[in-house]
Amino acid sequence: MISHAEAQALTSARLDAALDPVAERELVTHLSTCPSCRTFAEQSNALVSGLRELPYLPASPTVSRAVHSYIGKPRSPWAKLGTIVPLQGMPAFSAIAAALLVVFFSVFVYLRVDRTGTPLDPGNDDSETTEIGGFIEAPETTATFAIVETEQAEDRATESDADSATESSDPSATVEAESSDSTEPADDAQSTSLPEEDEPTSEPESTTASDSDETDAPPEPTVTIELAEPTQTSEEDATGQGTDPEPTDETNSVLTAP
Amino acid sequence: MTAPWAGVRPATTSGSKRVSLDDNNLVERARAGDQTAFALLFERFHAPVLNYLHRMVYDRALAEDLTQDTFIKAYNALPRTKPDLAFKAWLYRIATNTAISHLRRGKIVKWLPFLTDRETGDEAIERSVTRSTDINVAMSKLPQHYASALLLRHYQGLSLAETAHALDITENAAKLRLFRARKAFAVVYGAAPDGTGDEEIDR
Repeated sequence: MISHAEAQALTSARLDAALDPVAERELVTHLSTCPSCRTFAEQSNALVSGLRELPYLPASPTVSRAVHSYIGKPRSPWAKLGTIVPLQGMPAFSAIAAALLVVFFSVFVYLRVDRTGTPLDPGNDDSETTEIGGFIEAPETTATFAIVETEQAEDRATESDADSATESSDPSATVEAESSDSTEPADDAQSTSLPEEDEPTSEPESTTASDSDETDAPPEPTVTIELAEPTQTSEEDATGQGTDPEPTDETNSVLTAP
Repeated sequence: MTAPWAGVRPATTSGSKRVSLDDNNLVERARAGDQTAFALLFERFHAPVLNYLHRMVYDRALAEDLTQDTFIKAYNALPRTKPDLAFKAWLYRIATNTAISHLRRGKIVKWLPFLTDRETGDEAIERSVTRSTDINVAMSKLPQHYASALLLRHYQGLSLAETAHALDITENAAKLRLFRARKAFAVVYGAAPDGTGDEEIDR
């Protein structure tokens, strides 16, 4: 004999699918002796038949117009993208994309830090230029500037070398030869042949450049000259060389400060 | 009763299998961007969804708005669905979620249809109308998840699997929910007209 709860469960299950013969027989037996379960069965049957007999609304022309009007519009490009790339089937797509972004950003940051944070190498042009950038302003903030200056200085160095080789009478060529003489004596034969005191106006610049180069590893001399020559006033303002009678000490103090 | 209930009940799932195959073909075309195919699907399911939502919210204008929202959501989401989509159950799921989310905003007043036209001489019609009214009243007192399960299963004629899919639950959970909904309905339906017995509904 089944309980009331089991009888009601079987009554409900019978509305969804046919019961097996044993359960059907037990349910019928229980319903014949239990008025409350029989009432539940009758109400359940009334529910099913009543819902099936409920009136039915016709289709709404307002809704039809609105939906057809919406369908008639062309789809947006994003909807077409969704058709091409079924993002719903790839739940980890956004996570993978985010991870790749983080990896690329980390690699980029690592390369940048590694490039600027490398200790100075006497044979490395980047290190020298970084030091020159640090000499001008701040070493960390002028990292990009230093790299750009390196490329420009290399280009100008080749030009100035060519100029100094062909136009030895030019005052700028004299300055270049002067500083290159002080930093790299055996590199350029024409530079070493020129005297230092030929151009008094460019003496502080060349002296400063040579002093700054002497504090650290010997850099490329043409690079130093290129930085000093076009930005003469700015360097003077920054280091006080324009008014200081002894620019060497001032330059050294600036270099050792950071 | 006359005017508003002039609709024709559509064929249920026990109809021919060719309809289902055509549905799959239309769904496949609509997923690929065929607007005509989606329009045909809309014509096919427009009235059933409208009636289902009308039984959920008891307001025809609101049911029309929710029907429109349902089909627009379906139109936008269809290209992103999987190829083995059960369109009918999926559509009813959208309709159910749309209605329930709207009702949960707490700004809905259930307006019961005025069906108490008992002045006709035909006793059969009177009995039918009376029973419809009673069922409407009882259904309106059920919690939404019970009402939606009963409406999908017995009013819209969905199978148990389709009902479960539309409610986003398993078949066993659908059986259990239907059982509880029928018990709740029996409590309300068998209660006195003054509404006693409402507190016995297992919510």
